[in-house]
Amino acid sequence: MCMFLRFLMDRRAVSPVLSNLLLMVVAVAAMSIAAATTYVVTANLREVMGERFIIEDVWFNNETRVNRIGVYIRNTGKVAITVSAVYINSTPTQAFARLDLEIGSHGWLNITYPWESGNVYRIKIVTLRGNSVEGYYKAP
Amino acid sequence: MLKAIIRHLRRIKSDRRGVSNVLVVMLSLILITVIVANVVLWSYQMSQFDWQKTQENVKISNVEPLSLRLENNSLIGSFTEEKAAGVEWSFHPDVSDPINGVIVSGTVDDLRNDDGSYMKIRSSLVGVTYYFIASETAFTVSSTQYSDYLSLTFQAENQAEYLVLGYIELTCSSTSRQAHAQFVQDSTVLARYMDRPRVANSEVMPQMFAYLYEGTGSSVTFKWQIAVSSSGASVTALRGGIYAIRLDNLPNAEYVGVYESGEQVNVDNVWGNLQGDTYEITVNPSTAGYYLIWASAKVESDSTLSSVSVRLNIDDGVEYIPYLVGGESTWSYARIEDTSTNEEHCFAIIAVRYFTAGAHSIKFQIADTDTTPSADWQYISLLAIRLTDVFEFQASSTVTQAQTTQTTLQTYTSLTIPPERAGNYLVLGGITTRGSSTSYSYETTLTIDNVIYGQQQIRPQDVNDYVPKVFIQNITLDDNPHVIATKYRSLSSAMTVYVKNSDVLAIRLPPPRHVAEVEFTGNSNFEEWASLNWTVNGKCTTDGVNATFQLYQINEYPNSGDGYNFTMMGTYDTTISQTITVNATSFKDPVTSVWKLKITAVKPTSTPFELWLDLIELKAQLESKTYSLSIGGDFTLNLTRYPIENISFVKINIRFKTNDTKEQWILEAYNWINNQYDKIETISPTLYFKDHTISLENSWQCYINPNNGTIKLVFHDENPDGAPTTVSINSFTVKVGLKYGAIFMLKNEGATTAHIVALWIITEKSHMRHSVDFFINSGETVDYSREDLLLPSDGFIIKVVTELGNVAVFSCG
Repeated sequence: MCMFLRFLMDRRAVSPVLSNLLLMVVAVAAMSIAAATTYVVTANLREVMGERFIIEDVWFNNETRVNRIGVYIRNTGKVAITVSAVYINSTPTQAFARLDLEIGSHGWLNITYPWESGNVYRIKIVTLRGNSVEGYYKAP
Repeated sequence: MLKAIIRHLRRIKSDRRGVSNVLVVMLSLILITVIVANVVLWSYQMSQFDWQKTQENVKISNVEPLSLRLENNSLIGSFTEEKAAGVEWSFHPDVSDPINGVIVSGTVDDLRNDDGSYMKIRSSLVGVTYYFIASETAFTVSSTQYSDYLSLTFQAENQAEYLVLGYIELTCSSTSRQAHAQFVQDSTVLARYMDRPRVANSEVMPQMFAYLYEGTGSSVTFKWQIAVSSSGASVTALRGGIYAIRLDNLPNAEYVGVYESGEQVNVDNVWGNLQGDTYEITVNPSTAGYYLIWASAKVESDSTLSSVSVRLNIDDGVEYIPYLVGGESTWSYARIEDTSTNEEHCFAIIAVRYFTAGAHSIKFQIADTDTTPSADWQYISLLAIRLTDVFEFQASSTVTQAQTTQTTLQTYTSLTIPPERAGNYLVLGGITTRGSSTSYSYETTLTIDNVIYGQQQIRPQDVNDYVPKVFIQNITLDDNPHVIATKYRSLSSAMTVYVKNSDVLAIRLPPPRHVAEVEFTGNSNFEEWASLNWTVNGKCTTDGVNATFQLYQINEYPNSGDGYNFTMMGTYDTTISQTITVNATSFKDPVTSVWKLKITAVKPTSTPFELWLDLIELKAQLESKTYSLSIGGDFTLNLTRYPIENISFVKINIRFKTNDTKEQWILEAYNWINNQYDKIETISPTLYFKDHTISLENSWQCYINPNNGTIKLVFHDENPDGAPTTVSINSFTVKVGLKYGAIFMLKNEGATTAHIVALWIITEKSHMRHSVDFFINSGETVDYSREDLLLPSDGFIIKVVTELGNVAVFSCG
């Protein structure tokens, strides 16, 4: 009781309190921003790390009288993927339709490409997050 | 120490910048920790994922079209070669000899094949048709009017001939009255006797009669009636019977008889010099055989001082019945003196005699014993009935006189019926007796197993009188031995009783039934038979016929076991077959090699039936010295589920070994198109187990029954040889490949369980992905089959993809 009365009676106590409170607010805000940034950074990092997919099959075909390379992709990872780029023999190609695969999903990625029988092609599939799977495939 | 801590606290308390610094540092540390932990943990998870993926190792060991494995466990095991079939001969009958019945159509040639061409035998009636009534209930009358004691009524067939016999035992309560008994056919008296006892009540006086009656197609009644000669006394019938046996329908029946109801009086003492003192019949057997001779009559001496004498004279003196004991007068055959001239005695004689073929005279004669011709007789009946080949009978005869003073029954003539001859019998026992004293009585009996069924007690009026009587009794004998005997005794040791000329006859009376019985004979050969199979096929024109088949063996027809068969035949086709493997040669004559088969079809009916025989065949085999083995079995394919159109191949797998390799082994499959077995493969055996896979190639369709999917296989040695080889089979299967469907043999060689999610079938022209969902444990091998897949015929690649992303690849072709 004595200390409380002394605190009320001390006219110099207002400024330090305010300053301390203000300092705390600033610290909390700064930490919040830091935490949010951390969350964003780690989530993105986690998605990149959790992305797995495989090429089950590659089919050099010309069923529609157009040479195509069918790549059957299955998402084996922990996050959905989107195939964003395809490199054939290190050359990017845009002749494919965007392929989105949920977790566990699979499907053909049809790439229109003038492949020739007997040639070996290095096919690289790149996801939107930058992960890639690649391999050499010989056209029949 | 405490002071230093308090001092530091106070310093912090006094330092106004300290709190915020601490907070900032702590929060920063927390933030960094969270970030690092998040990244590290996630990284750990993904690393674990990648690690598991690297641990996964699934391999495809084989891929082939789906096939079925058909098994037959009866073909698994060890089998040893057995003696091979030797040379075989077939024999058919050459001669048929009907025993009962007649052959109405067909010959033995119709018995060579089971082709619907029959030998037909019509049955004949066998057994004896007879009627009887018997009583052992005492019946007493005191009236002079006749009262019925026994009555037998039956429907007599028109012109059918019946042997009618009557028997009754009487007692009388008075020695001054006669017991009257008469045997009546409807209202006609056939015989009448008046017997006076010399001992009241206890003296048993048997009376009997027999004659041949021809039926008229209507009902006939025979009766015993009794009465007393005058009031004040009574007559009791103790036992009696009336029997009628039909003769004319019996096989080989032969009978002759004479009956005279009129009375011949005042016969003199010369045999055969007057008309009416002799009645004669002649038997003329075509084959030798036994005959029953019956002679009975009412006789009276009409004198209390002399006797009346009768005899049977066979073949004019060849034999007299009863016979004359040495030193006796010519009238001592059978004789009796009246106690009262009112008496009319019953005399009856039977004899079973063997007559050779040809004519034989039987005379029944009467004579007076003294010079006063007072002898009378009436109701004379003389019969001769053939027994041999007509009846089942047994007889025993004693002629020579015997005597006794014993008061216990002494056996004079006995007859034993063996157990196998059980059945219904008519028993006749005749005996002629004499007593040495007029003061005492004697007794004669007919006993069966020591039980009295016929009895006579008499006190002689004249010590020289011989009294002939015949006891008649029906009885059912079981399958134990039974003894039938005539016995005699004296009722006082002071008197001697003499007996002579006793015949005991037991005629079996099997119930009437129709029988078709034929004996077949045929020639065979002189080889030593290892086995014999005999087969008979046929049917009857009625159901419920008991048929017995007997193949002659060593002097007899067997009644059980090899060579014997009994079955019920009907209007349906019946096949009797028996294989004899022991002593087969004994079923033919060792000298002539002739065999005999007797078939007896019996039905207890009065309606004839026919036995139709289609096949009689004997197959004899020569003993083999070589060994052979043939193992066969069926494998069944479910054509409903796997139609033939879906089958691509058929292969047979057999894994076997033999204990010798001296001979080749043949695999044969039944060709359902050609209806024969085709040789599929010749296999060289080994001493150790070895698999052999034989493909039915492109003709496999021929070997599958299109109706039920049966594949018939036979595995046998190439040729019989001298050594009994043992073959051990531990696998005998049929593999049926299907066009649709495939089986994928996968093995998980990794350390973790693999989850298979996709199956690829890749050809040059197609890449087909099939989603699957199954797990394979670590180290496990799985045969994954799919009936909906069609494997390409050319080269193809199979991929199996796991959930974690590993891919196993198998290349075919």
